[in-house]
Amino acid sequence: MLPQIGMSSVISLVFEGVFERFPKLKVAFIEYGFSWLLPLLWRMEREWRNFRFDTPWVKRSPREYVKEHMRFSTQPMDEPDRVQDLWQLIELLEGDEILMFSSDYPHYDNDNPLVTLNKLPDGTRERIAGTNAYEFFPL
Amino acid sequence: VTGDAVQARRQVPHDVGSEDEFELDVFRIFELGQLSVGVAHTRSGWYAVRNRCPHMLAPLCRGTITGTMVPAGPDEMRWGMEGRVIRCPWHGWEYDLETGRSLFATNRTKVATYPVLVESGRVTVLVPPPPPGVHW
Repeated sequence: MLPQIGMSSVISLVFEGVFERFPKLKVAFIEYGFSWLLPLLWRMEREWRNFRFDTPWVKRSPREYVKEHMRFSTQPMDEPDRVQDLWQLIELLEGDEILMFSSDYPHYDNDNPLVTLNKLPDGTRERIAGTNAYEFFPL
Repeated sequence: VTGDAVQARRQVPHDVGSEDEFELDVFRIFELGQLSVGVAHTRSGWYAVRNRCPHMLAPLCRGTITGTMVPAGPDEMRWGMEGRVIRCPWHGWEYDLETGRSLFATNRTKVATYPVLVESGRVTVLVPPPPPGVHW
């Protein structure tokens, strides 16, 4: 279950002050999915409010570091019964800023873009399908 | 706002004792009007704050008057703001005693602070009365 590794890596990168030491560093999480991220951000915000004292180098809210320095590829995109639930999650996560489409090609368990991209909400499909990656990588 | 309303909101002075009754860096808690208010003499000055944390309604002034680790570089621990910080006894939220604001924008909550006057050895706190009909 890759989400566990994704969670501990996001926590570690933010709270150990990596982005304070390397302000230009960018990290892309590939093949971790993203449905685990929103509750993690909520919890990180809460713990930062309670325990900022222990990590005084964390000078901004954890969510700001994530938004500025990290991107997450979509595959494996979770498949709730109602696709609208996924859209709501993407909106709450500000997925139009931090998600990048990925297919996992050529693996057999890929997210076929012919199907998966249609599952993305209209307004954010273009950003997730291309714009976000274009802005994030030094292309 | 009418003149009467302005008058009603005017701060009411409360005598909370003599200067030497206040131990350094220890809150004394008073019921002033309908408010529970902590008053303290710290290494940074005299402060009065509402004894209620806006987060989960903890008795804030039973927390610790302290300093804090001020923002610093990675792996750097730098102590500052001695006597200017109240740390909530429940979740550890820190407030600046000068302004009542959460430290370093950790969140938007703010605790009410009140002016303290020390004259001829007497300590007076100015607290606004609640609006008519409102019970805090």
